[in-house]
Amino acid sequence: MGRKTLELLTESMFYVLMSLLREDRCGTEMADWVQGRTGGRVRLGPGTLYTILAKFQEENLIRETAVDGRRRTYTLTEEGRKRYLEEVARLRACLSDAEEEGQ
Amino acid sequence: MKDSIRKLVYIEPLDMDHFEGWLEEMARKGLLFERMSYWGVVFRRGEPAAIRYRLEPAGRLWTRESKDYCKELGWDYLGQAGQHFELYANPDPEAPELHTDPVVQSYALDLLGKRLRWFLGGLAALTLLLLAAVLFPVLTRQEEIVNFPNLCLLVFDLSVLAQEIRTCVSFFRLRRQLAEGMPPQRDGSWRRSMQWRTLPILVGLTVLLLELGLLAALHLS
Repeated sequence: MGRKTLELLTESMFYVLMSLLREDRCGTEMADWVQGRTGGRVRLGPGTLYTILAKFQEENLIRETAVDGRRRTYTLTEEGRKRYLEEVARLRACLSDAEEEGQ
Repeated sequence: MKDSIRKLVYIEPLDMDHFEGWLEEMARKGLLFERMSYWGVVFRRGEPAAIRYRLEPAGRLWTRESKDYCKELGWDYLGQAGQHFELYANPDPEAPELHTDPVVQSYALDLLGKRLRWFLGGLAALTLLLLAAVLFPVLTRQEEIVNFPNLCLLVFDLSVLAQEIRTCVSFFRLRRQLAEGMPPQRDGSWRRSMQWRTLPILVGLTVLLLELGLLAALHLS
């Protein structure tokens, strides 16, 4: 059976979507934002970052909006925003279950 | 002592983690990757160093921004490694990996995986045709025994096929491991991979020499 792409977002993929929630960014800005937001816990290596960007474009979760010299800027699509919110809901459900078990 | 040394490529770049592990072992011995050549890898003699070597499918990090980001993190582009890959190196042990997410790295190998399946399918089909061509005269009783030169050719082809299958199995094993979230292990297991690769080469060469010897003997008689 073929693998269904992006059924589950990894942490790196999740944070890349998060980085585009409020503003459009280029790849290196996303990497810096994610590193700052997570206190260095999540780092995006170049291979990881640009594979995620290519995959997300293929899946129409993000769209390239501008090319300015070496910088390519991306924005979140409606599909991408929806996918992000689905993942947030899933993580909230996991956390809620964990907190209930912990009581 | 010469500054560069050439080693035959005993491990294919497609056998990714083993090829990377082999290069890292060579670097620890003071042999630093310089370039690929037709028959092998050319190393430059230098100080033993803990350098990380990483393969990336060719053409993925092509934008100016991605190249700059690689350089910013200390990843130097070293050139093509085989038909399918580009090679990067980083001497800084603190720098983040080229791929920090194994699952995402498996996505980077998807297209190459598809191409390899087609390639193996084509190679298997050619082998079956060759097998049919060699065995058909015997099975249809046109000849009593299999033609020896054709048999040698078949054995040589099978040894090549075995080698390619072995390499591709290793590639798909790594891709599956990455898809399950497990990063590559670049340990000493590249030695076993090297032995497995050497065996079909030896068989193929032996058969080729036998055939050449036979042809020479027939010619002389």
